[in-house]
Amino acid sequence: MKRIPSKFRSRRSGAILLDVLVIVLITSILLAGLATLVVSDSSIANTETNYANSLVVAEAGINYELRKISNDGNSADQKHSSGVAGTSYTTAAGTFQVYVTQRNSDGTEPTPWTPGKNLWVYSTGGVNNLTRTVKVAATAYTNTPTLNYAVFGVSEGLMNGSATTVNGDVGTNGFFNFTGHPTVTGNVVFNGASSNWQSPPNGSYNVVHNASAVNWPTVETIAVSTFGSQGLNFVASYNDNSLANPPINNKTVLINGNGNQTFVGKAGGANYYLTSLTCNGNAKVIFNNTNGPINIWVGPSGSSSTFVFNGGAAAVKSTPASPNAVRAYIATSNDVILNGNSELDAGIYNINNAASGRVIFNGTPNIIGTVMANKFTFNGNPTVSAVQGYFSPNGSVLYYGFVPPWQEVGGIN
Amino acid sequence: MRIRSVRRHTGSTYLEVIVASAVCVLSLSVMIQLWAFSMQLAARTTDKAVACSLARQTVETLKETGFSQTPEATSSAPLVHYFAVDTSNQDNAPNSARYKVTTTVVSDATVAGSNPVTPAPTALRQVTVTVTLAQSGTTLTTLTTYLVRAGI
Repeated sequence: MKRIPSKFRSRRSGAILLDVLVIVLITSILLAGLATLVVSDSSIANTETNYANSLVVAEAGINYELRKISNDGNSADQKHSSGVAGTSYTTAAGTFQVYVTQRNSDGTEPTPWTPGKNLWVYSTGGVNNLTRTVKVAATAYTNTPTLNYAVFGVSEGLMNGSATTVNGDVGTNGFFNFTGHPTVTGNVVFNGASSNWQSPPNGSYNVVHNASAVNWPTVETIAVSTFGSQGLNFVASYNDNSLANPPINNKTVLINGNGNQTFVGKAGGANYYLTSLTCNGNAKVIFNNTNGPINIWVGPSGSSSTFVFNGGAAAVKSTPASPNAVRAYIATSNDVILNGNSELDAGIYNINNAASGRVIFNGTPNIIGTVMANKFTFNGNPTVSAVQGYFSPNGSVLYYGFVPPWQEVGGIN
Repeated sequence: MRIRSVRRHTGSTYLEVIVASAVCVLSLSVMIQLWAFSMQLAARTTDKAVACSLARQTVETLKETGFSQTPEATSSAPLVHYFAVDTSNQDNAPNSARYKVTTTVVSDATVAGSNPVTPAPTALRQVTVTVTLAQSGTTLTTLTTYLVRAGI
């Protein structure tokens, strides 16, 4: 037998095992890398799925809350002042925390939210310890009744003249007393269970009784919705008094003799702010609304001041189609008195809850517009012809719903 | 002495081959299992991702349809659609579809006597979307949300 040289034997010893181990090691490293990659990919896919599903849960929370407050505004989940801000619900859609805040036009979000107001709904939805929060705007959808009131007295209305004519409806939440025999071409409408005649009228009218009182906003409320949270204080500082002819200084108008004060309109509406207006003698106000609407705001709310005026003929007459209407919003507590026999093309709004004065018409003016007052007294024989579209009552809330914007807040947690 | 030495080395080589073979078999077995696991996990991940996408797509479609226009669909008569791996609709060929999307829409209040059933304006409508593998019936994902009047 030929001897195998020892140098060859020793070199080949264990080579196959070594080669196999090396190949196995390399293959294992490659496969381990592949497995790691696949597991990592799976983990990322799961995280992304949870991320997306958390949003669905959060949005389910928004809808859940909208339905809840639509059924009962007082059951809203208000923001907690400490701890977790929202109320937690575990539902079929998942677990979410939800709360509401008020949504003011100036960007503030006071709490608690008052039913009927605009609101933000916040909802945080979570899936497998991953949460997302969304914030959506919501508003109240209301039913605003279609009305044809020429005159409305919230608590009372007195008509003392027999030649008074109202072309349209006359309404109240309180009582009417027609000591004269006015002509009403529309309905005499009593709103609310206790609303009725104070004493039987002299004439016969088409009387309507509605079960619910009409809810009118105050002048201050209208100012807040128009100018933001500062309301009348805002228009007291920022107004168009300088547009008037002559320009109005010191927020007061006092005209005597045969003098005139012309209020001039502008595109988008000219807003005047007065603390008093007095017309003596034959002095009168004129509305030049050729260029746009005119709004006269009289304040401060609840203050006692004089508002006695004559005239009020407008360049552009008030019709439902006219965009250049003239409106006077009077928030003071003294009586509002219209004297003289001129034409008034305007809507007068004097509703301020208990602080309201009385709207008094003397003489035989021809009023083409609408008069909304807490109380009114027609001493003379005015003619009031209803023009729709001047003022709207508060509607009753039907439900709450989403309005843009939709925002995600806080990112992923 | 020399002959014994040669024999010892020869035996080592045989043993070495046997051990190497065993290591090979064992390693290959483990590697094949690892590879199979990786492939299964990758396939499952793909299925879950597609399923979640289909579920969200279904929810968004229902939201776009709207609270009042979305038909009622109880668990006994759900809305069913079939999809391929590329999420194309396969309602015309459900046997070749990869995914089955089952949707139920149940209102907690309905208009009395309505036919077809109409949700009451105050209803909370629970939408549940379940995605399964069309052939095996394995559930991949379930997504639930709510529809309300004027909601999102």
